[in-house]
Amino acid sequence: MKRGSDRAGRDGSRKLFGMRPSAAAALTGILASLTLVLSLIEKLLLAAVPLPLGAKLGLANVAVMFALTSVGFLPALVIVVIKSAFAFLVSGGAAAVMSISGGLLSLLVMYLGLLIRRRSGAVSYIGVSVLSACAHNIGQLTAASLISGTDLFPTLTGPLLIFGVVFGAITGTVLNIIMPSLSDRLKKY
Amino acid sequence: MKGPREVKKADIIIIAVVIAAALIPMISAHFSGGALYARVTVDGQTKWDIDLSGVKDSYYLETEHFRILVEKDAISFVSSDCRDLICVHTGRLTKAGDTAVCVPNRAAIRVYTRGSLPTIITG
Repeated sequence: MKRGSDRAGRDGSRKLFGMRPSAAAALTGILASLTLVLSLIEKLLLAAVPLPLGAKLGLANVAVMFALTSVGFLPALVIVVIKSAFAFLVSGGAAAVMSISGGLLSLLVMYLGLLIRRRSGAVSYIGVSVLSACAHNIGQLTAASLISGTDLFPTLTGPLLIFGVVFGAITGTVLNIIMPSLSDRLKKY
Repeated sequence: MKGPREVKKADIIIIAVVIAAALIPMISAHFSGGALYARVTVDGQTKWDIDLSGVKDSYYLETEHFRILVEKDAISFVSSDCRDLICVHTGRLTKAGDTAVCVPNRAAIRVYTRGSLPTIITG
């Protein structure tokens, strides 16, 4: 993830997350807004075709995963927090708590997964996406259990894991396709 | 750059393991037959316990925040004042293990068979 944080670049200028600090800040901002737009699109899609249990596509995770691979852990964390703050404004406190608990757990799993992917290359973005989507759902289930005061794990773990596999595979396939060309372009900055 | 669309063997293994982990409890819940019961909890406290198999005429259960339709062997949120309406979209619960949750109202309906009575935690 860290392509050499805070290290001086080849031309002697200071580098942040392997790119110029201004580029890192700009990219984080762009990705944060992209995350919000993707969440909104997702909300619209779900209004048209409601899925049971409030399952979501996790389109925004594409942007978070991209931030994690191309910028760094801290910017990805910032994006997750901004996304939860947005959920608070749009859908209220319960939604924000669910968003942050799912977001943080999936970010952690994503970070570890990407580390394994980078070190060994045994797993592609699909595997990492599936695991992080499932972690997201488990995080939300934990929050929902705590807020509703009802142990929802025995009944909801199964269906939510299935949704995690399906939508994680979809977002992972998207990442498998877009990441190679996007990371080539980013090297310029 | 490696080929962009390659699916690794570990991806398939991960997907298979997660699906297996998900299906085992779902299948075991599906085959636990018998009379159906529903438990409605609010704030972790049991509000109503309903013998769904014994329902003759459908009726509504209401609080100031939501409305539940009780039918023979089925139960569902029909309306709620929450913003996302996930509870209503979940639809009718007809099998043991089916669950509908309204997180903003801290309410949950769970369907179970006798013997698989759900454990309650208070949050």
